[in-house]
Amino acid sequence: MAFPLKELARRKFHSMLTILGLAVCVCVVVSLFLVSENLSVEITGFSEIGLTAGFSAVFSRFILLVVILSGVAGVLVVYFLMFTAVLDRARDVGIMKAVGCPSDAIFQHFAAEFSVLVLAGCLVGTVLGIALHFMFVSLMNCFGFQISMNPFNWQMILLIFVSFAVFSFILSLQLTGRIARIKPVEALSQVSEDPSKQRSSLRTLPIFGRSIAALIALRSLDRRWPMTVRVITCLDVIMVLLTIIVVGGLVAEETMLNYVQRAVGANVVLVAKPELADWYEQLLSRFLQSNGTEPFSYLNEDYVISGFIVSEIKGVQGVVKVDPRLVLETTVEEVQHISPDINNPGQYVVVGDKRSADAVVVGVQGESLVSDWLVFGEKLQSGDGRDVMLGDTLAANCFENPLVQSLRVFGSELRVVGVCLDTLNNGVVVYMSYEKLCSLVNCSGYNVILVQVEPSSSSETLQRIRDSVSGFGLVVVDLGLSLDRQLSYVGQVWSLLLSLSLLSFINAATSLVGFLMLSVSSQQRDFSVMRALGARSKTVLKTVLFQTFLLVSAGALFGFPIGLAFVLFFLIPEPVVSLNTVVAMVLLILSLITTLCLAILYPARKAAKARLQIMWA
Amino acid sequence: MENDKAVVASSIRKEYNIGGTIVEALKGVDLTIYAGEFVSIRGPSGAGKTTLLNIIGGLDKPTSGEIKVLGHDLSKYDELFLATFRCTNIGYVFQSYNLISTLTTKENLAFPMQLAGWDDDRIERKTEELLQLVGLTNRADHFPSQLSGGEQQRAAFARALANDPLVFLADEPTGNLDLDTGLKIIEILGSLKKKKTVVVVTHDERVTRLADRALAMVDGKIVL
Repeated sequence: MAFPLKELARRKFHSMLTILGLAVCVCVVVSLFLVSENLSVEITGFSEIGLTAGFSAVFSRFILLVVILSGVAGVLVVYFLMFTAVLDRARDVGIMKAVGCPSDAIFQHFAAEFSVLVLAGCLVGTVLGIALHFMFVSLMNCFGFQISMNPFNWQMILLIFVSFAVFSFILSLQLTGRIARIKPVEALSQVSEDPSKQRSSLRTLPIFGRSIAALIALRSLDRRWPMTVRVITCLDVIMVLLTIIVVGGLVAEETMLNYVQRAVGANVVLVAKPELADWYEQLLSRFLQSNGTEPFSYLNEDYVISGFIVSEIKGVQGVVKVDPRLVLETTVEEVQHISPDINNPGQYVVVGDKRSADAVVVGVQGESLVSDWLVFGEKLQSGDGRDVMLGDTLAANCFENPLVQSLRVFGSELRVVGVCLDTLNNGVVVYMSYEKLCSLVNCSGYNVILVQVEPSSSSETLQRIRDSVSGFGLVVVDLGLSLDRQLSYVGQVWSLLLSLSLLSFINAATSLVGFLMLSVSSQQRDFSVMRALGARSKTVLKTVLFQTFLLVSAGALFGFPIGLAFVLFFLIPEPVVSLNTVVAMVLLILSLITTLCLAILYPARKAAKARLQIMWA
Repeated sequence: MENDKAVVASSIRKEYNIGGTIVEALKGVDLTIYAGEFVSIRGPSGAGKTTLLNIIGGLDKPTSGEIKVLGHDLSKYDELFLATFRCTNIGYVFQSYNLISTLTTKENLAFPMQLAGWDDDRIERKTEELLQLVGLTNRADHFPSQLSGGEQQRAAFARALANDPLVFLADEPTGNLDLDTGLKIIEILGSLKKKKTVVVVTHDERVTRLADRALAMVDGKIVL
């Protein structure tokens, strides 16, 4: 064991690169998993009260994609780095075998080396992942949110550790077997590096009239074709990952902010009795934190607002829309849907169960709604009292297929026509016709009025509304603050998720630098000859940079469209993309590519400064 | 008279630090070579012949002392100048050939001309001429790994002549050649006499006989 450890220490740059590559992937997966548990995103199927089901779904899909791709990228990067180590030492192995070293000893040597690398990478990654998770939760709490530190799911962490270790180890064993079987003659003749194996297209490229740096870069990529293919594959997966993180993350963030804004409504003020106004704000804040579960007497006569006040508010200058509502909380029940089975005549299919939940029920008038939710199914039509629209969390937790089922409330069975993404009561909400709700609870009048005002004169309008309702003991509350808090919550969760996910970018740099280090070291002699013949360092630098450019371009050519397709067709329904987001995407991608270029400057500069003495070493 | 001096080495010392041990490769070499002169150097392995050739070729700098080639004190210039200087004035045949592995024979020959900025037609003509000169026309599109040792040495020899250098340096140019090819190279070397300043490290008596001056080196010093 001591000899493999010495070997790893001797090749410390390569060893560190391999450990770093694996550690980053394990770290991203562990931290994303723990963070998602704390945010109660249902990535692992554990369902708790937290974000609404609709928002959770977007987070879940994003995190799941990043986790899967990080895993694939991690294993690929490690395999690739180990492959480069094997190629780099094929000649040594040939010499060892030529002087009589048995294959078993070589197998054991490499197996021990790779085991140390895999275990170190997984261990470092797990520890870093847990530490990052602590940092994430602390940061969120510093920003004023109340994210509790859930007890660790050690089994899942262990599963991640073991999965990465086993996959990486299996791949390393495959490489170890390969190198142990290598024939000394093959290893010593360096057949894999024989330029005569190059494809005809590159052989016929004339040197004249072309950049010598470009030609040498092309030829050396071609010369190491098996490795070139592997590094491009690594970069492809990493580019898909980066596209999903950058494009998907930014678009998802903007779209979710848009969902929140559409649900709460822009420039909306709340008019209600003080106690009910407080309570309504609490219902909105349940999107961020669980609070207040004690019963509230919504139908108390003191809270009733008459139609006269609604008319008064409608007459106030600057008011765009008045949305009077009757809000209450009650138990609602899922109704099973029974239909004939098309495949088995005479049989019936039962959809759903008889689950029940305590939900907020809101009676609204369809034509005057200030909310414009993202709706799956149909919007609530005015005048049809038998239709209801469910909030996303209620639909996800209490219904199997809500759009074909019905809901029972106050003993009446109502048809579910749509599911909306809503933040009120964290999505455990039912919207129905105001008239129908009045008839069901046998009362009249509203208890909450939402008023949309013109944005240009909101403060003056607010004052005018206050003046018109002050005589009735009503308060006017600007819901902009609640909206801002919700937007800020979603925005900050996304920012931190993006930062965590962007750690995967280190993988891109790791694999690229690894490839270039090996490429540079095997071309060191050529670079020295070029310089001895009068080529400037710039020419060598250009050669290495051109190689990098070709690799990154090949990675982006496949990776970017695939990532984009994932984002557009899988990640987000009804994506919203503003000019600002496009600019942010472009800037972020450019800065990532710049960072990648900076990462490869080390091997490039090393090549350019190649000592001429190497030629006669 | 000063203008006739192609190479002037004064008290050149060269030390290498190898694993913490200082190894003295040159121990105060003084040498003057006149323009158009043909000088051969021989000596045992480790005598400092290649180190001296590298310093004259601007590939290495002396630890102390002064080296003037074509009037330029090479120890005082930076790498950028030296690269241009090597490209335009020096032709060097390395003992281990040092052909660029990713370029074909023809491309290897064209490489210095490309660096010097020659136009494509001129490069094409000169390359053909050099290939004919060393008898490698049929190997023009082969990579170095597909050539024999002797063919690689001839290609390296042709490449050193590519830019019509004023100073031609060769480290054992006939070392790996068969009798016929060796004679061909010696003939070419002979044709360079009086036209270029030639410094050849060799143990081949046929090459030494061509030289205007035959030097010997032992233990980092010129002894003859």
